[in-house]
Amino acid sequence: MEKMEGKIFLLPLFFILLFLQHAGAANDVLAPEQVSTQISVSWAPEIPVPNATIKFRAICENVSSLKIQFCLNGLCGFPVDMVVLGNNTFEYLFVPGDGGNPYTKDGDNLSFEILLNGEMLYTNWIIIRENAKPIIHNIWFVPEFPKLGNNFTISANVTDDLGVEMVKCNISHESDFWEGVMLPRAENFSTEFTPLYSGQHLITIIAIDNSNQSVLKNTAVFVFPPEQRDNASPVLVDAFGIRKNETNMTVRVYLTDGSGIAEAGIFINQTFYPLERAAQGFFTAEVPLSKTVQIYARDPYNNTLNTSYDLKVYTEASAQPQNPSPSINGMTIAIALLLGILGGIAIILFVKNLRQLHILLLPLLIGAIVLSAHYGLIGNSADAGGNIYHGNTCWSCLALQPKSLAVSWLENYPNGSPVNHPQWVLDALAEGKPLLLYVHQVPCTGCEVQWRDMVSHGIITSDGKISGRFEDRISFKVLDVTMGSETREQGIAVLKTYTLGQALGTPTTVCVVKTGTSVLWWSKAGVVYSDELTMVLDEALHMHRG
Amino acid sequence: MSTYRITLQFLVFAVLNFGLIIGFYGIPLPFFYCHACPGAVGLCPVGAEQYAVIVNPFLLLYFLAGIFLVALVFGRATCGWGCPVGALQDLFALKSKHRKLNDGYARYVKFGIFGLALLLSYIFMEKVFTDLCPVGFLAGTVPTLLLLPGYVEPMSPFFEIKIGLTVVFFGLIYFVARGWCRYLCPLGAQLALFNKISLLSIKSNKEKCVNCQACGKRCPMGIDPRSETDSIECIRCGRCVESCQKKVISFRARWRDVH
Repeated sequence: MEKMEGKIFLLPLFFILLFLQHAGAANDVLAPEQVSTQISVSWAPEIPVPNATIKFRAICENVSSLKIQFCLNGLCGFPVDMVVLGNNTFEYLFVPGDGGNPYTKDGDNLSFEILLNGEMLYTNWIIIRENAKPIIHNIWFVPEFPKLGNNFTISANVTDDLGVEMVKCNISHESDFWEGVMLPRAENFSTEFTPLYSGQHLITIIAIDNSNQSVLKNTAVFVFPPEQRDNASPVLVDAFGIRKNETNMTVRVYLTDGSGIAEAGIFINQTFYPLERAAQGFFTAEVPLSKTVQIYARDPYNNTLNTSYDLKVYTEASAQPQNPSPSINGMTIAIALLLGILGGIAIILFVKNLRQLHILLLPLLIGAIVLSAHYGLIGNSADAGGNIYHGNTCWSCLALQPKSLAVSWLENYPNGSPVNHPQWVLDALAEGKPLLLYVHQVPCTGCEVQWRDMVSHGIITSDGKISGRFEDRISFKVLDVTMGSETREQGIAVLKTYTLGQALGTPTTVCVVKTGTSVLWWSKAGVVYSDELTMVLDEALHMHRG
Repeated sequence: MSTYRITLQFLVFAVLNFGLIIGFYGIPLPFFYCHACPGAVGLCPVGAEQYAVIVNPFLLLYFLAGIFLVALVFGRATCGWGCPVGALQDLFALKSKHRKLNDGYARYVKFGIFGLALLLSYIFMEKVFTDLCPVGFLAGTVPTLLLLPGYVEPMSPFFEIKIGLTVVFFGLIYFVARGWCRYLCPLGAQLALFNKISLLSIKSNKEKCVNCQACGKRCPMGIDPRSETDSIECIRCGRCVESCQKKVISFRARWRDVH
């Protein structure tokens, strides 16, 4: 006790320590409020669409770990660790349906708390919104036709129901590429560009909204070189429709012009539908179903194309023609009449002998009678097979195949006589790529088989464009020799030129390649499967490179 | 009547090969004949049906409708009076003594062939019956090889299989009258479905019958025309009608009986 009395001075020190300890504890209690002022949190997209992945990022100094806890419409999950990125930055990717995260839907309230050692540092909430993608209404240039070396402004009118986050612009030319962000001015976004090359520039505008949804729109601008003039009108290369539903189709138009296409459109029943540029020389639009259309195009020098065109309409799944030109000729009428007479008799018999008919045959019979009248009018529907003199040869009937010329690439015919290549083939080869030609008709079982095989193996797309590793390296042309087809004449010429003068029918596949001054060709009638075709195309590329 | 029938068979065969002359082809036939024959004007119905199941099921209904409507009117008469393959069998049947056989179940094989032809074609996306069809070899392959020897070559193994099946085909029709029609023909199977209700049918007046069995002996399909007038095997060839001295058997239009 005496010893303690001697150290009475320690008592104030004790209280000071006690005070400091309490002060420290109080400091701890107050810590969240103090630290919360030092945390900054962001997330993207700002207004997520249902089931979108949301990236949460927190910047908080002097902490080693943070947790985040989500509550969807008041129902909370467990806190999870945020990933440390360094520089006091923490991140968490909220992937709906993954790692215990709930799926989200329109109108959900997703609240979240950021926790440090079990204490809340920050809380906020996000409303999930099923909102529309941004819309790029139009794109324009000032001046409309810029000149080499002179600045021009690219502007786009973009709107979005919940706000536009950003609009980007890519400009590509065969010798140049530029990308940048377009600056907002009300609903318009614009940027300036100085062209270093003349000619066609492909402009791609990409708009991104607050939900991170994006759309892009392509257009092109022609940069005028000094002192040059183009007097040629745009040329229609090909056009076809892809049926979308009972009333509409997507029409695809391929146009070419030395100066590029300034404007293109399609007239259907006097109504003008502008064609949207999907890629260089490739335009598309959604229009009402129609077989005959008027295609309009204008180049930067105001040379115009205005032509009437009979479209082939393909189904979306197979890209094969649907109801190919139901030609009502004498034979079709005769077949229809015969079926009609027989159908009438059949109906009488059907009624008279109803009790004797097997019940299972009834629906089939009724359906058959109705549909026969419909299909009877489509003469070409009956064209399911043929012989060697009429094309569409039924090779499986014969258990024969055309003598293959695939054993080697030929320059001349086997007897030594020269091959008279069609001029358009030589023109295509002048583009510097091997040319693959596929001759078919509708209907043709072998053609269907080869087409599906080529599509399923990624050699071509279902809409007939070369794809995969051959894209941009091989030119591809589909020639339909169906009666009335636009490409029939070219197709017949190919059949005659590249099958020893004897058109052996469809499908026929031809590959032509230019090696130095020689033009070598390979052809085969009958189905060419993807393994063989791939080998041929590889050989063609190899020979092309020399 | 035999004269009419043989003349008609000859005419049908000739017309079916007008394709080279008239430059037209593609009419769906109610006969069995190969559209790969260089002169073919028509479309093999079974080939067309296989094609249809591969490319478009609705097209199958069209082809079936044509055949079923013909069958509703004529039953299997097209086999007896028009089919070139039937005519070929009739030539061989002159030597055949095997008409009446205890082959009830074997006759259902043709229905199986028809069903399998469509099913397997759908599964394999190939015309599987056509790949094996001996009639294609006779009517298509042989003439094509003769006419265009330099342009085509055998497609193995189907070429060899077809040769084998063609030998079997000739053996069958030599030993069994109308053996193809009885057991194998997938078109005959379709037409047979309507034999019991077809407009054209055979009528038998059993009260007048003296049981001479002349009709049965002449029937190429091996049925008893007196009691099986509506048999699914009857090809309405009329041999029973012309062989009956007592006029017990005759053709009839079914609707008259109905009225």
